[in-house]
Amino acid sequence: MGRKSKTRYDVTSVVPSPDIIWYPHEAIIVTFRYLVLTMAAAGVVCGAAALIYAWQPAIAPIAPLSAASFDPALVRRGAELALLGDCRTCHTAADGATYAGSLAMPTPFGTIYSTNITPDPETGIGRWSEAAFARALRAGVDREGRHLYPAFPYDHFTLTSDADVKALYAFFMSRPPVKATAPPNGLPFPINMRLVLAGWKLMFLPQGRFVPDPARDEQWNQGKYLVEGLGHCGACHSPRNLMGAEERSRGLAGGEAEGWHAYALGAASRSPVPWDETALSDYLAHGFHPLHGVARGPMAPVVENLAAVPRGDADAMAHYLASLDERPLDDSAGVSPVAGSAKAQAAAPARPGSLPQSAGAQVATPKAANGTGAALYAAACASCHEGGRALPLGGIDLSLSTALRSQTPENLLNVVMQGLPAADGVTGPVMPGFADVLDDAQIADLAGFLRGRLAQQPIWTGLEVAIRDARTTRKLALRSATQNIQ
Amino acid sequence: MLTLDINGKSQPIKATPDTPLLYVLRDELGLNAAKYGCGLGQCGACTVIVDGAAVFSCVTPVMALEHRRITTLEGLGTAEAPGAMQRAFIAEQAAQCGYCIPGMMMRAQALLDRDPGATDDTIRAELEPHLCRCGTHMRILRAIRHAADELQATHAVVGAAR
Repeated sequence: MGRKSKTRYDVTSVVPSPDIIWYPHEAIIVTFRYLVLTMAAAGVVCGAAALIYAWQPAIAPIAPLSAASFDPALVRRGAELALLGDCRTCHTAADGATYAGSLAMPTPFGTIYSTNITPDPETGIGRWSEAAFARALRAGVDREGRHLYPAFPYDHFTLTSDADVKALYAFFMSRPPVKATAPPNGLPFPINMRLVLAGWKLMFLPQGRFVPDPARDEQWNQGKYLVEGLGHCGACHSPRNLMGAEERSRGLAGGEAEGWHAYALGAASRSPVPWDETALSDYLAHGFHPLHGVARGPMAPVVENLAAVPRGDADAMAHYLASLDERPLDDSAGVSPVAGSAKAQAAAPARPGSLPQSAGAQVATPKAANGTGAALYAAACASCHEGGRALPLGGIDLSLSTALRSQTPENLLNVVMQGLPAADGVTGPVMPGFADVLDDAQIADLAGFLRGRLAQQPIWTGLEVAIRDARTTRKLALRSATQNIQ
Repeated sequence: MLTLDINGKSQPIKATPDTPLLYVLRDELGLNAAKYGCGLGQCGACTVIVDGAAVFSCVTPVMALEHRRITTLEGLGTAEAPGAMQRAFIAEQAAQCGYCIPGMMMRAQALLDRDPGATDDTIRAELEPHLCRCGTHMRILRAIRHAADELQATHAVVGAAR
C-alpha cells in the first residue's frame, strides 16, 4: 500500500507552474497535501460504497406460524439436517433449553454467544419468513439486516439447497418456542461493528449453492454436499488465517477446536492405518473405530448427532472423505512406515498380554525411552491398552493412535487427563482420566515415552506448556459437564 | 523403598513401584475399605483421595504418589468414632450390599471439602463415575446431602463463635 501511494504521488507527477521557483521540499508538501486530500476523498467514496455494500434490508416480520402447519415428513427431514449441521451443539447452552442459544463460544477475537433459534416471536426466530431464514443460513444476515459473525458457519451453509433450507425451516419453526436472550458478545472494537463483517464476507464468503460434479456418482456428490455444506467439517478440520477465515487452499488439512487438534482428513491424515470408506462410515456412525480410536472433545457431539441420522448420510460423507485419499493403501508416501505392520497386527487376533509390535525395523529408534514414562505406561496404561481386547471393551493399541503422531500433543494430553467419560445411552469406550493422579512432570515423562517408543517420533517441543494448557482445557470441560446435568 | 503418606501417617512400602495403590492398601497395609470392583477405573469402588482429589486407586501405581497426601475411608473416622460422612450414610441407611459405598463416600468427601455448598445437581454430576448395582442411589444422594448440611451447620456455628 505504502509503496503504491509513493509511486502514484511521486514528485515527478506534480507538475510545477513555470512562474514559481520550485524547491524540492515544497514538492513534498504539495504532494503530501494531494495525498491527504485524495485519500480523504477516496476514503469518503469507499466508505459510502462500503456502507451501501454492507447495508442489508430488513425482511418484513411474519405472524407467528403454527407448528401444525408444517408437513411432518418435511419436519422430520429438517430434524435430520439439523443433526447433520450440528445446530443443537452450538445453539444450546450447557444449562439451557435446546436451540435456545446463549452458549459462550470463545474465539481468538473474543467471546460470541449463540442465538435463540426457537420460534419465540420476541427473542427467537418466530417472526422470520423462510426467505429471512434462508438469508441468515446462506449469507449470514439476520432478519433485521444485521451481519452475523462467522462463528455461525454460513461459509459452509451457503451451499445448502432450497429443498433442505425448506426442511430446516419447517423443523425449527415447529420447535417449542423458548424465551431466551443471549448475553451481549464480548468483542473488542472494531470487530464489534457488524458492518466490518461485510468486508470479511467479501473476501471469505464464496456464496452459491452446491454444484454437483457430473463425473462423480450421486453418493459422492451427496457426501461432498454434506461435508462441505451443512456438516461444516472444515470449520474445525481446516486451518484458519489471521482473520479467522478457513484457508481454502488447505481445506481439511487440520485445524484447532476448543483446545483440541482437529486432525487432517484425506491424504494429509497422520493415522498409522490409512482410513478407508468402511472405517470412516463406522467411525462417523458409532463414534469409534478399533483401528483408529474414539471421537472425543468437540467431535463427540458430532458423532452423537450423526448416530441419530439415517446411515446413508454418514455413508455418503465417508464415501466422499475416502475419495480425498485415493492412494493405494500400500503407497508409503506420507504414511508412517509402521502403518503396514500396525494394520497387519490389528487384523491379527490379539492375544491377551501380547505386546504391540510397533517398532518398524526401518525406522530409526529415537533416544532411549525415559524410565519413569515407561514404568508409568506399564503400570497405569498397559492393562487396558495391551489387554488384547478390541474397542470398545479394551483400550486401543497405542501404536495405532493418531494422537501420538499428531504435530501437537494436545489430544493425547486431553485424553490422558480427562479420560473418556461414559456417554449417556451410547456404547463406547470408557477411560479414567489421570489429571489428579499424575503431576505435570509425570505426564511429560509418559507422553515422551508414548511418542518416542510407540509412535517412533521425536518428542514434541513445548510439552510443558501444552500440559498446563491441557489442565485448563480439562477445567473448562469439567465446568460444562457439571452444567450439563443441571 | 517407597514411602507413602496415608491418612497422615508415613508408611514404608515393600511392594514394587508399579503396584496399584489399591493392592498396597488392601494386601500390605490391611486398609480394606477401598474395594476391588473392576480394576479398570470404571466402577469407582476403589476411590481414595489424593491431595484433595478423588482418584481410582486400582489404576494408580504407587510410584506416582510419593510426596502426595493420601486419604482412605479409614482416614474419615472409625467404627467407634465415625466421621460426618460416615454418620450420614448410617443415618440414611444408604448401603445395601455396601460394596460401592466406600468409593462413593470418598468422592463425596472430596467434593464437600472443595465445595461445602455443593448443590444436589453438583453432587449428582460429581458422583457420575460411580456404579451401584443394588440401586440405593436415592439414599446415597440423601446421605451426601445430609453430610453436606451437617458440615454447613458446623461451619456456621464455628463461624458465629469465632
